Amino acid sequence: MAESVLRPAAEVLFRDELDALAAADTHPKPRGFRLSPRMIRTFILGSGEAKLPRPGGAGEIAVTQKFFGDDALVERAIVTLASPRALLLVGEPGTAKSMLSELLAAAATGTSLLTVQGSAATTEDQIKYTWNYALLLAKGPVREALVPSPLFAAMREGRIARFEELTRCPVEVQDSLVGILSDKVLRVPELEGEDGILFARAGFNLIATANARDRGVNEMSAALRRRFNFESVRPIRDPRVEMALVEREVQTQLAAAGASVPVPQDAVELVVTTFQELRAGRSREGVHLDRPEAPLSTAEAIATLHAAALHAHYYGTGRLGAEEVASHLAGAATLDAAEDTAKLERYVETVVRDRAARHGGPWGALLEAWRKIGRER
Amino acid sequence: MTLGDLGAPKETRAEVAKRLGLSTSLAFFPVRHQSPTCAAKLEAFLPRFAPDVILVELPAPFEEQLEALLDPESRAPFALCAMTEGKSPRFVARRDEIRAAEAPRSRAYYPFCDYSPELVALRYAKASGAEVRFIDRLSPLPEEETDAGEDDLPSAERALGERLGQDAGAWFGRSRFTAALCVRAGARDFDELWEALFEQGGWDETPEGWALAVGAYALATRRTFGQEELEADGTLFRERFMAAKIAEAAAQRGKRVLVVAGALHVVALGSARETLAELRPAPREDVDAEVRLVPYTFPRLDALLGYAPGMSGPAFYQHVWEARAEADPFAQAAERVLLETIRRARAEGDALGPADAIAALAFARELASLRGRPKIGRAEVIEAATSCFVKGELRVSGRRVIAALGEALRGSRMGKLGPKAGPSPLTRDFRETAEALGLLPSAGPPRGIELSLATSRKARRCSWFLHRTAWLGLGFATQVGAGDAEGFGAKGAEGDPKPQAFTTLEATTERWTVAYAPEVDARLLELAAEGASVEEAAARQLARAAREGEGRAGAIAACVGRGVRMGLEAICQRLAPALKAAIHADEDPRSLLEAARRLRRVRAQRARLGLPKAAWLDALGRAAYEAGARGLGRLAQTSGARASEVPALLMDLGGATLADDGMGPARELVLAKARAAREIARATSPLVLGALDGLLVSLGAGHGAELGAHFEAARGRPEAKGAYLEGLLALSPRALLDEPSLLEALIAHVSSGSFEGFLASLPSLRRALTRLGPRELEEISSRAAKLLGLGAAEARIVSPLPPEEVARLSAWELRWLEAEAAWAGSVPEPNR
Repeated sequence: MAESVLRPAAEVLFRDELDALAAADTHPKPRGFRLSPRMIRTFILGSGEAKLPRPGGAGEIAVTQKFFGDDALVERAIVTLASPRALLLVGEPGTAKSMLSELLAAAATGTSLLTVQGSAATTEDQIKYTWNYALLLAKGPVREALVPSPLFAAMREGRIARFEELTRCPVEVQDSLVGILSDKVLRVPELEGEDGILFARAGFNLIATANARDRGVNEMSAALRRRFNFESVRPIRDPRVEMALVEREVQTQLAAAGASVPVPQDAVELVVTTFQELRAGRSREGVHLDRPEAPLSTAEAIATLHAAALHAHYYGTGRLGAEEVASHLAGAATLDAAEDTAKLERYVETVVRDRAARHGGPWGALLEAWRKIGRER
Repeated sequence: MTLGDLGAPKETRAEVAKRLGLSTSLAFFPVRHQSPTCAAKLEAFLPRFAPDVILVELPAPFEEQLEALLDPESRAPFALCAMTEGKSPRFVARRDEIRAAEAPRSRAYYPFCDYSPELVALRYAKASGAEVRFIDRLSPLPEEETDAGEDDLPSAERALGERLGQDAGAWFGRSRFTAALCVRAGARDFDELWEALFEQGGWDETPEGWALAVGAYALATRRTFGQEELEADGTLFRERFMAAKIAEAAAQRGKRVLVVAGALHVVALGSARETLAELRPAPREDVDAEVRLVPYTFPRLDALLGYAPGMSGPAFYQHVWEARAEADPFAQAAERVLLETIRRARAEGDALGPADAIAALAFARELASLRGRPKIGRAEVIEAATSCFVKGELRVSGRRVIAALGEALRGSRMGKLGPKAGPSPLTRDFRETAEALGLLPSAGPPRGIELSLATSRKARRCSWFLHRTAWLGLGFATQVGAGDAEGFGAKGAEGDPKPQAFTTLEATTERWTVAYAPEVDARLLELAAEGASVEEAAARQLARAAREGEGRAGAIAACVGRGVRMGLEAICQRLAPALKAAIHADEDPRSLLEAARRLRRVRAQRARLGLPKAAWLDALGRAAYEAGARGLGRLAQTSGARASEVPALLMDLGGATLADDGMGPARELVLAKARAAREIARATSPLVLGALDGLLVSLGAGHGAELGAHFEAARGRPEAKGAYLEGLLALSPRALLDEPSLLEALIAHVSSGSFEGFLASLPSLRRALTRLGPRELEEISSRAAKLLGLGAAEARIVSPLPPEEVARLSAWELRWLEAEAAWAGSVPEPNR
């Protein structure tokens, strides 16, 4: 299955690692969890140089690091999931909130697929349950006519549910979670007897994500906010860590796309440095910069380089150079607001120009490519 | 990770055991200087070992303060303070280089709290009758060893003590061994590692087991440094002295000697135990230092700057210490801190309750368990509180919780001294300085003093001293005609855009009255923990005020201005990085332009006093002006009452731009941003729009036709036209003369608009015209008269007018009076 689908679920993609961790797990587990908190941590942050025996004695496996930048955040997230409170990951777009939520759910209770995608159109039915109307008309409100939501299923099976973009939902719809998270009970008034009440099984919890650029978490009701522990997910601060991650992900994605384009270190550095400096509003030389509206996240850096590499593969020489980088940088910067182009332009004409004059090299090439693109525009 | 995870080989442990010799008659007990676990282990070890002599790693000259240190009426925290004149004593604690009026003074502090192992040892000695000797030197440190100081504007993270991920700076923190252990233990820095290994992780160890583990860690750490490094640092120099002092004590036959010293030292000193007998006696130290015991505070202790190898979060560790007889004192301390955090956050409006405390405590316990730590540590408390209490972005929604948590971890305890310590150094310094400057009046009515700052050095020193005492609120000195909060000249009238500060600033004469009252002593007593001198206490309070500015450039710049008035150039320079950071981070253009304005005034003041040009000041001012100019768009969004502040800020911006003196912003930048901001101001505030137009005109980039058009377009509210004119004339008083279209528009409004419109705009029009001088008014009157077809003489004398004009004006006047009476709340008499 992992080979045949475009994007397999985390529990499928990393099945070997999860099996090896489960087999080696001797630490206490929270009720309903497949892995202990320590092994969940290892699953997400990697086992370093240590290797685990594969179940069945077929050699060893190293657990890869999947989330970078803030180990303590991962630990806190795991502890929250083992507590009665739900977890809300808040952050800028592209900071890997959804990926972290997916990994946590897959490792803790074995599935990351019990997911509600929040939007302005999300209704309470989609959060709780709906009905098979044919059966409803034929048999009336009976258990088999009920169509469970992912959250319903998670409660019934003792799993972790995910709620993406919670704050995009109307506040009154969000509030349908209050009772569920508070009492761990979901009532179905249409059904009678035991069918009318669903008690969550051990292991159930919820991971929600919220985009800091959407309607703020302050718009959530106080009652719902109290049911969550909040964790802010921030862009990776360490440029070396971000560069390593970007390089690795771009190479993985290119390999998956069948594009054999080498990813030069210089190109990675140009993109990551540019994004980091614009995000911070300041260059490493201390030049004050206008922060763009676009998030310029790690995910965006990966997408930018990936697109630049594909460009080189399909339309260029097959080599990822400054021209492809410059052209896709401009695209990344204009995602959210047209005035971001001017901010990027200023960055190039101040910071990049200065570095090009001092050091030449890749910064010089970027400046030249940028100006060439400008002339062509 | 626990002590067993240190991974020290058996040989190393054996070697350490030999060096410490905990069962021999000369034992070495390794300590960290503010460590509750260490203090508890030492407290348990002392009666078992029953030493006759206790040697403590404290400078030998401090022995004279032993009685004061152990005064039963004293309450920790307190600190030994060594003061020297004109030379720099080396000391383990923080040192303040104070640029006093004449001779430089240096002060070093060695703080003690209840959980200081040294104090535990001294208290035991007093109770048991053991002899105490101090074995360290008091000798100079290299200049770069000066600590930054508590008051160097800790950020929110710093206030939390959240120094995770930063280098602790001490030997342990710098070692490669520590770095490797941090990776293994998942600790973000030395402090977290130490806590995991030796505080939480060491609590259940025996005293001997704990000492061996710390010794093994110290030995491994020490081996990562070369002899040259240790020599250059002065470590070996000190250790030779300590060894000689130990040798003297060990020479007493039949006595059991215990050395209580830093772990890095004892592993080295213990290895030399065989050769101690051959050492020559320690030389007498020839350091001319005055040593005093002073009260200390938890906030100072928390900043870790009192004493570099200490630990932050003193209230948390005090709780641990006080609960040391319980099964899990760390859990108790965590609970107390979390409850205190909730109490404080609730007082500020956060909706937190006992359920949150329960959740956070459970969270902290689980987090510690996940990390393999046997007890809850400070890091887990911080993370539990932020995860469970903050409902949103940490930096936005979490401000109150973070502040409350910082306070709860830090505590506010202030030490108290018993009678054996004598009068506080601050009181002595106040009296000595006031007397030396001839400012100490005899009892009686307040004495007036006039100081000519530009001509007399002594007057300048007096001024600094008086400003400091005023800032400290001693009730000793009052400046006559005192100005704004920074002491810059007299205050202008409310809303006066032309503050008189500049005027008073130009006159470099200050007038004061001084009076002595017993309240002065009382206040000095309250401030005793703030420092050993008036200068130091003022500097500390100033830095605290800057810290409370919470990164707002205007507030920090105000502190810089105040610091200059108080002659605290050193602290001002130390504030510079924080101000620079605030300028970059502050997104409020009002705050930025206010900061710039204050810095410009500081610059002018310094120039008048003949002080040399300060490049750092110019750079900060320029940065603030440029950041403020970049924020003109945001400034243009100002409306309502706050809009009235804008013209004064823009006036100063324009002045600085034109001055071209190295501090002002680039004209092109200001023009570009002002033009863009004008588009925003059209929709928000006519006053701001007028001020922006005035700025452009004053910079030679305004266009006459635009001004008239903007005046005419200001219609949203009745007072809009007057407000526009007010803003414009505040920055460009000649605009009515230079731009005919504007005067024409004004005349048209006055002469042909509706009476109600005119009436409503009258107050703001009058305010606007007060910006003009008599000559300008005269010229405008004559031009207006011309435009109205009146003669020059008629411009100022309304009558004689055509009868129909008189009737019209009379009717206006009557209605105006009626309206005025209505505003005043009385009903006009009908036939009046």
